[in-house]
Amino acid sequence: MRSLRVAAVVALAALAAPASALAHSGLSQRQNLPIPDWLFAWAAAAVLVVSFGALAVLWPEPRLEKAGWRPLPGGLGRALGSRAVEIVCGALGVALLVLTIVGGYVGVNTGAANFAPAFILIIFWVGLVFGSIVFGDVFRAISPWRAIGRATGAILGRRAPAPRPYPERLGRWPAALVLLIFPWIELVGKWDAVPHTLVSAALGYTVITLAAQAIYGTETWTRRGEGFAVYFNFFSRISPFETRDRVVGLRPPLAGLPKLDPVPGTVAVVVVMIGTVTFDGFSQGPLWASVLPDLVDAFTSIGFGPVAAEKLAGTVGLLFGVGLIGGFYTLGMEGARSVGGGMTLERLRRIFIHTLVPIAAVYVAAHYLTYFVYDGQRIIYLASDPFGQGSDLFGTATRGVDYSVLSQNGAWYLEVAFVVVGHVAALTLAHDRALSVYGQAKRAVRSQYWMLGVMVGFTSLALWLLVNAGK
Amino acid sequence: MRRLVLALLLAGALLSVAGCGGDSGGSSQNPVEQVSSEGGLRDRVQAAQNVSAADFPSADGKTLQQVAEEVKGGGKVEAGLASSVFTVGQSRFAFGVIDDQGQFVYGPTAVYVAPDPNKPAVGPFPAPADVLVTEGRYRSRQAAEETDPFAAVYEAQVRFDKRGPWSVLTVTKSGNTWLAAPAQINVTTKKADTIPGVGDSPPKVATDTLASVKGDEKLLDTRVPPSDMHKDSFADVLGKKPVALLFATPQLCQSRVCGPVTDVATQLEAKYRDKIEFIHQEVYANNDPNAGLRPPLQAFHLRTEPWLFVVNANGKITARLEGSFGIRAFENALKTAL
Repeated sequence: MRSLRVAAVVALAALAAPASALAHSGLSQRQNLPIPDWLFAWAAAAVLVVSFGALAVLWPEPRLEKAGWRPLPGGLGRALGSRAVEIVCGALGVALLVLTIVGGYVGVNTGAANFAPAFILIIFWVGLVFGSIVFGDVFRAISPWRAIGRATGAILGRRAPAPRPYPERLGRWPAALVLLIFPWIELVGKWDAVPHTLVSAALGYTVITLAAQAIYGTETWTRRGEGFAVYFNFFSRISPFETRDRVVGLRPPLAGLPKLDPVPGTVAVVVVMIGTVTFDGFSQGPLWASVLPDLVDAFTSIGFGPVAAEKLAGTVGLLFGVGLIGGFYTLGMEGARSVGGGMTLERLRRIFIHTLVPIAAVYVAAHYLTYFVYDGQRIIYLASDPFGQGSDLFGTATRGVDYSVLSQNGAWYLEVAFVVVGHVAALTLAHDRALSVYGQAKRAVRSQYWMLGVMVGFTSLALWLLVNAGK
Repeated sequence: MRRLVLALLLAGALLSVAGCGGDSGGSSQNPVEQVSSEGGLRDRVQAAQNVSAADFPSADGKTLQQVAEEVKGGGKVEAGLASSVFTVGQSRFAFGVIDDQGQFVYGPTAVYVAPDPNKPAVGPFPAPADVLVTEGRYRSRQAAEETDPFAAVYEAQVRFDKRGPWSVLTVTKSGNTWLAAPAQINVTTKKADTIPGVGDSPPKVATDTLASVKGDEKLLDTRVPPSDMHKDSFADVLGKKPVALLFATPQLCQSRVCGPVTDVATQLEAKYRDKIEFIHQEVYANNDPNAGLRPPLQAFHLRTEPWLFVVNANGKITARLEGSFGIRAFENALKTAL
């Protein structure tokens, strides 16, 4: 065990050295920055260290664990949470699902001209993350699968068979699997270039989800197994908006995260959320480009064809990204365990996992900011010509992408700001949880030395990935 | 609820029918509508599209120098050549006209040629402008961020009756004056032209696909965002269906007049994808201009870029374009294979 602790310290130290990660990197697309890129890394690390000190001094009791909630004033909260709004949102979700699937099949089978890939991969997968962070769990309202499940339940009434008990050991593992497969489809399978295949997957997922909802109940499956519902729900816990008993109200930002129940599979969900984005950033840089040919050659040398070898290499990279994040988090928790308190590694991994959700959020926000801002505009002309057949339903079919809406440098500043704010948020959550778990403020702070290492490591990794992807 | 679902399905079906109501994709509007109207640019390009030889001084009995003397006085301009391979007989001569402020000049334009400035001039050959600006949705980031885009390229079909050096004079009508720009080119015989031409069988080369570049998308396409013209290798589709094979490097194009031909290809691909396979091939090994050309370019004996080869279903080249080419030239080339 001692050797494991030493390994943990070494790994954390290595990852928590921003200069070593960035000193030799160049920002090929951001050459006019007034501040060198390595200084960004050191500044980000300094912000974390200062935040850590400030928390130790100024945050002596857990606050987020017991945060309050109050409804939106003037009946607004009740109106927004009403059944009528839920039905409208659900119908909208179902309509968009139908449009996307029909569009995917009817439209031309190329990604650039088809509505489905842009909608699924940009508006849904990325846009809803931003939407959830700002507005709360909006996907719960517009989820087409939940809407269909609830509508079916309402129609069948008592005739509907009683749902089976959900196996507790399954926890959120099905969601983790979905959240691993979906990025594989995008990053490795490249199904975005083949809309017919992409929407076939969407259709298949719809069938599986509706079947699972029929077996275990719509709400249970939505909370545990439906990958996208779990994904957006995690992000929504950062938001100040929360719905309770059909009333939308306000809570302190981040206050939804300490209430996250760390059932089995929860750690896997968060690790996959960060790990897949890590691979996406890594795969766009020169390091992966230098490794990839050897990896492909290795697979072809044992008998795989070139296409299969390329997919296998990507799969290895994706799993490596997830494994790296999982291993790093585990090493940090192993270090935290060394301060005492009688907690097992597994318990520590579970009770601190919610603190990584803001990191997952800023990994998405920073990595996909320009993708969302630039490529997201494609939906403006695709909505007018959803199937690439030359129609112009809204008079926007000939519009293009306006790259001037956000400058390259502006995007970089925003990305760095996201990374820093997200990691400070994570540190705050960890400090709050440590105070609650350890009772003694001194031991709580000591445990957070390790968490600080984890956070600085993740910050460095995030900045390195951003710089790496820009090369 | 059942009614609601049925209504949504119906709406989706109606939408799909509405979507199918147009032509087979791509735009049917006049390409000049895609040019910005700011500062009267669109009007100037439109005027440059309509050219008649009768609007220009006759070359009868005059040397090229005398034609130049006749049209001088309108200001100083340069001709930026947008093609480089010229052979005896009819050859495509593409160019842009750039004023002393570095701005592209658009107006009715014609070309005169002579083996020597003091030899009898031949011309005028009308050089209508061919629009390079695509619809917004087909515009790459490189093109979208261009502050002074090369909006249209002039193209003349010029006859050369012998090989060797030739002098060229481009003449552009600007208001009531003429803007003349000289240029020098070298004309070779068709026999000396080693690049496959119309009627030839192209080399059956494997062009890059995601598998051939081992998953490295940056090697596949320098366009931002990447085009989808890399699904099949040229060798796999040659002789099976018409192919438009485009050699171009959107990011590494080193000439100001090489033009956004890959954007033009993506726009026309939307219109012709059911009939023609579009394939794009990057130019430089490892996207490094110092690392030499990729094997497919070597197989075609290419030394410049961009190039377009249109090949019919029988595997014969029916059109080839070099340098900068606009929507009209590209589309006319595609039609030769159908």
